[in-house]
Amino acid sequence: MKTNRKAQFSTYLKPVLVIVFGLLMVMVVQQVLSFQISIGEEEAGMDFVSQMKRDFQKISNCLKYTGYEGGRYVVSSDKLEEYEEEYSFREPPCAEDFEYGYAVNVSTRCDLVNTGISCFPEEYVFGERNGSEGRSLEEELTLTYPVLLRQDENNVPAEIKITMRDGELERLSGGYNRVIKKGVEHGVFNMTYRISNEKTYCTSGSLLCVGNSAEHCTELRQEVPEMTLEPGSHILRFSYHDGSIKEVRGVSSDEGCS
Amino acid sequence: MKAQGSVMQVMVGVLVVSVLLLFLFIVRTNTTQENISTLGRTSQTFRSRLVLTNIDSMTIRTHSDRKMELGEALSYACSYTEGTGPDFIDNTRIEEILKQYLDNYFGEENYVLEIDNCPTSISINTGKFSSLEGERRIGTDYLLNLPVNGETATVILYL
Repeated sequence: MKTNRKAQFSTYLKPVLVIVFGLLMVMVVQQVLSFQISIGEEEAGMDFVSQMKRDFQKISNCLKYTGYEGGRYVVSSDKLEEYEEEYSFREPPCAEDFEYGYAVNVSTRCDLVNTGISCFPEEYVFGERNGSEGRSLEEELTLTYPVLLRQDENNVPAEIKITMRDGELERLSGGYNRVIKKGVEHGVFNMTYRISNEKTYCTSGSLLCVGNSAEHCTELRQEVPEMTLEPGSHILRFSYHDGSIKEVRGVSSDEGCS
Repeated sequence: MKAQGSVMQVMVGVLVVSVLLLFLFIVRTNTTQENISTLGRTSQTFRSRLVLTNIDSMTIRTHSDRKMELGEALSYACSYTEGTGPDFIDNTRIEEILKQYLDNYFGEENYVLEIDNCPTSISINTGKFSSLEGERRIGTDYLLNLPVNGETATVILYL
């Protein structure tokens, strides 16, 4: 009788135990997975910040005032003027980032200190000023770095503010610019590029724009074939020869921005 | 009995695997947290170094209307004992400029600046150093070449 009750108990208990154990396991796995995702996001954020620092180093090197020996972070206002004119909607070639996009704002900070030297306000903007927005933007970060600006043979306090974006427009323009850069270096260059986009993109001359019209655009290194890329996953095949991108296969249509 | 045994074995197996998973997960989390804090420290050191580099090259006008770089002025100040330096160097003026720049950049309470191997007393916020001791402060050093005796002074910025 005792043995029977024990067997009956065990028959009921076993499935209950298995279910409880199973549920516990599912919870543990779920927790581990969600934590893994958050760790992945943090790691991606770390990469983003590190890349921003590398970009700052490249930008400050490009802008460095060279008519003087010292001052690693003394930037030239002549170069800034040139950059603002030449690269008002794209990154300067000497500090190009093919993965992310950035806009740079350099301004004097005369308010920080009275050195007895005259300091007057100046502000310059260049880089990819138009970037991804809304759901096509994955990450955006703005950081400022202290530098000095060469002004009338004096080094006055200034800062470089970099706004970096990770989004569809930045990736797509990075793809185009990478092909053009490699094409210029090698003469002939072909590249396959995968992209998943939620928004429509079109080209017009050297502009790559969001939507079907040339309103919210970023500038590419040179003119590219006209195309429209509808939302979806695409494998683009770029073909560069004879000094420009001649063909982009895998696009939705060969019609450019309206 | 045999069936019961195999269920138990599976459960024990699953338990061992989960413990292992949990252990790996904890190790990975700790590594990531360390990486994040290392990145934070590196960024802070990078910013401090930028500020110190800027201090070195910033153009100032001394009390005697002489134009020079702040780093050069500091080097002169640190090459002589109090009161024996050249007349174009005024330690109070140099300290004033340094303090104003750092106060405005970091906030008055958020840093300490010390200069080692500097016979004249140029140090900012050092009185607050004791209140910062409990916390883990990151010091970034920057070498100043002293023109008179060929030695170096070290400027240390604690954040």
